[in-house]
Amino acid sequence: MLCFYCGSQLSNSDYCSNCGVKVTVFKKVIRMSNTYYNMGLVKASNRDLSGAADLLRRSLKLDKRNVRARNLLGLVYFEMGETVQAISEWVISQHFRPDKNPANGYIKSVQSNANKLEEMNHNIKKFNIALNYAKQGNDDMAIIQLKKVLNQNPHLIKGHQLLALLLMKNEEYDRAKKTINKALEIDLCNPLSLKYNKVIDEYLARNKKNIDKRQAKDPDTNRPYLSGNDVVIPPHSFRESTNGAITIINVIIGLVIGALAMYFLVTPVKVKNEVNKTNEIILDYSQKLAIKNSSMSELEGQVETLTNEKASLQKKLDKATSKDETTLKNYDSLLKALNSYIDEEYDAGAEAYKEIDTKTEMDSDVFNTIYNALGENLNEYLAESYFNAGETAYASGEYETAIDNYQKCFEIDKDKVEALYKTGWSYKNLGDTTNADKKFNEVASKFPNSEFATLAKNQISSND
Amino acid sequence: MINFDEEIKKFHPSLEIDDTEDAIYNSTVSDVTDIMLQIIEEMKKNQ
Repeated sequence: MLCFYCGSQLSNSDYCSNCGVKVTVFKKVIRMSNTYYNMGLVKASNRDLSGAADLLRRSLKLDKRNVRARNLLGLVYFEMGETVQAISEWVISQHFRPDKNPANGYIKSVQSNANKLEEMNHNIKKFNIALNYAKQGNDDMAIIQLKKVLNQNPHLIKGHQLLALLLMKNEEYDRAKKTINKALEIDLCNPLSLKYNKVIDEYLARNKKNIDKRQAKDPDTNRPYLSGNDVVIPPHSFRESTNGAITIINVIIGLVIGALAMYFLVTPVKVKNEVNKTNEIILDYSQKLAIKNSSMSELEGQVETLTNEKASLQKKLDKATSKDETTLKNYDSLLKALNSYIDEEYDAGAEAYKEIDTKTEMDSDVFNTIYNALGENLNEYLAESYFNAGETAYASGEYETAIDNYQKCFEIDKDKVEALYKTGWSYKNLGDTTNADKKFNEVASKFPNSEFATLAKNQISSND
Repeated sequence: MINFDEEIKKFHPSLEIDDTEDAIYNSTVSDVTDIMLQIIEEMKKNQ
């Protein structure tokens, strides 16, 4: 025991050895505080939590430093569902004795689980909301909230008490009885719980008496009192058959009904499922087929395009190839002609010169120069050569070839009237009188003094 | 019989966890010993 004035350790003397203050009364106060603590401990052990809390509070009024009383009070509050008050007592206890204090463990266990603490807080808020509803007269909402609260925290005595009060207000005394009993299990001698319990018991007793009186007056009405939780089971009117033949008939009927149910209910469904499956497969394959067909069309189109491209490229290639061949031939012919000319074989030179294909464009300037020069030198022989070729063709009846050669001859030698005259005859033999007359007129007009002019005129006259 | 309105007045809202600090600070942690000290101080003053 420490001196209340200076804090030094006291001895058995009535005075403090340090400060000299009289400590007789102080020691008595401390002893009384401990006595109240002991009484509170007994009550708490017997589950009289309200009684224990009251005595422990008195103990602390006498000696606030009574750590044991404070810790026990915290435990009692916690058991009653008053978490905040419990924590307050333990914190104050920690303040007076920081070391070797069980309150440290109690606080740690409450605060260690943050989720649990949060849940406790929510529960407290819900209780406050429920109390608010009850004060506003919203009994249904209050009852619903209280049920939720008590579900989470079944130790909240005032929650049970408030619920019992609301149920009593709504005349649901049986349910009120159940909930107040739960409160009494936690705190045996809680005055409020005992009061409500007494009222409920009185009501239920009175109610039972009234039912008994009614039954005594009218024995037929033996309907028992029904509360909200009772379930009424109607009596069975079904009686099982004891005849074996009827049982067998019943079984057969059952089988027949089962078979018919299978046929009419189950089989169509199965058939429908199979049909659906088949339809799905058909649809799937149709889609695949459509995709393949479209791919095939696309590929066919590509093949056609490529074929056309190939044909076009082939034509170009052929053209290029043939052009190359003709070009080579032309060079060959020119060289032959040149060679013959050098050898003074002018007829042979002219023949070779005639073989040069003038339709093919020769891109070489040298070729063209030599061709033109040689052509001028071989003119006379060329004209003769073309005329002879024309004559040969005319004699063979190849009038078109004859026309071609005669015309070439006349182009080279403008004085060769016979070539022009023979061109006219070739056209006439071909049946082309228009061109034939043209040529004959040309002969007559250009060479009026020649022997062919008269003949040409005669021919014109005979065609009119 | 129970008077609901009278009975409901006995119920007070519970303190929330967040109010613990305020509850501790506001609690009157005084006992008989503190009263005795006050008496002694007054006596000394009067002397």
